[in-house]
Amino acid sequence: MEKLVEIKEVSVNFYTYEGTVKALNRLSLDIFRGETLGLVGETGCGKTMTALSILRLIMPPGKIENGAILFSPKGSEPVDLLAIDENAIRAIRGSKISMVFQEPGSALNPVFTIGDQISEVILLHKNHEMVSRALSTVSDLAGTNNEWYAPLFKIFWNVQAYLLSQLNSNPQALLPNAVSKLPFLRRFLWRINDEAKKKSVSMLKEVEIPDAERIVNYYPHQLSGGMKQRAVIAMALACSPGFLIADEPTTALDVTIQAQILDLLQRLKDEFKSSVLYITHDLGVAAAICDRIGVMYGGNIVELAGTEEIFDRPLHPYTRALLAAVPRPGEEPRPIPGFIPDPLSPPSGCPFHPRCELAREICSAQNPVLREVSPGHMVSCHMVSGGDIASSN
Amino acid sequence: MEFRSYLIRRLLLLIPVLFGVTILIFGLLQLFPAYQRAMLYVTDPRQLNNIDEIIQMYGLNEPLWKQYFTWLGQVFSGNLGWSKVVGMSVTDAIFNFLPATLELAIFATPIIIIGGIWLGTKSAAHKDGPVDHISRAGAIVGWSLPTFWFGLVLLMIFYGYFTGLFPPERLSTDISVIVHSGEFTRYTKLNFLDGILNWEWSVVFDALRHIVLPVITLSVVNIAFIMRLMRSSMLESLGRGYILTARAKGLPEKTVINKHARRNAMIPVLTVSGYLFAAIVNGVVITESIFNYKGLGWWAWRTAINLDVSSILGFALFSGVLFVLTNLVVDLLYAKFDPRVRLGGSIK
Repeated sequence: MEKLVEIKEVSVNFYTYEGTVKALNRLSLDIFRGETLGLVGETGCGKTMTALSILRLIMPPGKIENGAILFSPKGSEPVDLLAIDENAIRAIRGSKISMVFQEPGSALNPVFTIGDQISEVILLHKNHEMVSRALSTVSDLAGTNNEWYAPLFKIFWNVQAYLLSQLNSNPQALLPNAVSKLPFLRRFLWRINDEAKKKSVSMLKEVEIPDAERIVNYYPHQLSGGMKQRAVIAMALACSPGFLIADEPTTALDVTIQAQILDLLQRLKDEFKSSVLYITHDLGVAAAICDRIGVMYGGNIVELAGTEEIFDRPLHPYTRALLAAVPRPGEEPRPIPGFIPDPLSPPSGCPFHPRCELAREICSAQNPVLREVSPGHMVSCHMVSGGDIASSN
Repeated sequence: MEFRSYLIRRLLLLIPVLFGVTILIFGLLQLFPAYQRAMLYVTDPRQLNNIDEIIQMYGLNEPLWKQYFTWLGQVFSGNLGWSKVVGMSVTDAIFNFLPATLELAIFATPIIIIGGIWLGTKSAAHKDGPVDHISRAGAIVGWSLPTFWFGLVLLMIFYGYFTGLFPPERLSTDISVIVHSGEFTRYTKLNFLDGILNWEWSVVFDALRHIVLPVITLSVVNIAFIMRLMRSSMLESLGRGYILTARAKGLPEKTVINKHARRNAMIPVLTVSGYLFAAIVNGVVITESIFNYKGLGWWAWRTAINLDVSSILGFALFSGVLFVLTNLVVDLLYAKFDPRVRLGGSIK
């Protein structure tokens, strides 16, 4: 299978007053074209950090220390997302890689309408397409409208068409760009925004929002949580990105809405032929939609395998504990003993050893590396050998 | 449509609030005995001989509610009493001194609001950078400067050292002669505006020259205030989820800050800006006194130290009404900026 994203030994540190927090510790991960990869783990294990570092959205005091993230979109050379300049990464954000966030309530700006917020990303990345659509609309209008009032409007349509054709042949054309900055005159270019709005409406229909023509003018606070999340998904998919990062998109929603959103994501993924990195702490959700699952702990991947494999044959003690901790009817819940490591002073060696039943001396001395124990199944644990886990005697 | 219903709601709410203001002022008036209340309407010391007649005339020994309506009737007909300090009726005094203060407010408020918002945005966008440190230090200094001291220092430098560069008062003597001559029509009583309207540029120039120092004094203190508010508001806004969304869309940092963050951060600053404008129009007592700039603040100061009761109460009524009206304007702007207010949703 072809690799879409190849994360190579990426470290992310946060420099706080209390000390350095290692959020990601030489993390390596491949994401294949067309797959849904799930990342699971407890809060603070670095799932979101992985997602944010792909888009290079780690904000100070956080810093991506080293490593490389190779991104190979369809039909072009791989680029290192960590090495390209700011303009180049901005051109990728929202158009080739986009992200859906956990809290739909705070992910939408309360003072702009849903339509404005979706149009914004379309106008940013698909400006040229919108200009040519607007141009064809206005030339159609000028050519075919034979109503009695047409001669009155013809001059406006011709001015619009002239400006749009200038913009269409050269996005940096002086005249239309100057016009777009002047009050009143910029209304000659309103059709570009109008096309973006039409596209927004069609995106809202795509995410199954009823009455999209009306909803497009709504403000976020007028929508329910599920609707907001649909709008956020519409925004993320507006430029048909090849790679979608979904950071716990259903955590803030109730269960029935969650199922709808998951169905929607599945359908859209096939429709847009995207790959998805799905971050969740809910193993059930991950099992339902992911092709492969990576389990994270302490800023690194501890186990990575196909979904069935990981549920049938979990190898890492943490994965086993995580699976055992899932509540089942009629059974006492079995929480994992201990707490997640203090990020300021992580334990030596394997980050999981203080909570691990199988821990030996080597576990506190040496951090295990992620290695393939059987085809497609990778584990980082000293106790796993030959595709099976050592007994705990 | 929603905005109109909001507007009507707010206008209707204005009526009880204004009544509340008048009742408060009237209540203050009741602290004085009847013959002192009659002093409101005494314009000449000779009238003191027949004070009882005045008490009768204005019904000052009638029951309270009756007195209130008589007083309210007087207020509505523009009779707020006689200001003995300046020897004119209180209403005349307010209209006489308001333009000077308004002139100050017209120049100072935009400088304060735009400057404060701009500095606050810059400072938040470059948090912990040199720009941030310098503007924060500047804000602390500016906010801590006592107005009377700073005004005097400015006068020492720009009036004393550079002799007469930016003088105090409103107009120089020779220009004052032009303004009060027959050919010069005082349309608005705002000197710089009247100067333009009369095409008399020497008046415009002179008016601006006199206004520089009070405007600087006001600006330094208040820019610091607005800047600090804007900075903290921006920082809060920049930490919200929608900023991450905006960045994840691929928007340039400039758009993220100036559009997405600032629009939200403006809301608290807007409220304060409204009150700031009202406070300046209400008279900046210290600044106007230091620069001998004869506006409302100067008048209020004179009336207060002379215990000119009618003027003080008239001024209080004016301030109260002004604040209520400013509050209305602020609320309308608020609704313009924040759809959650306009559409009656809950603010989370």
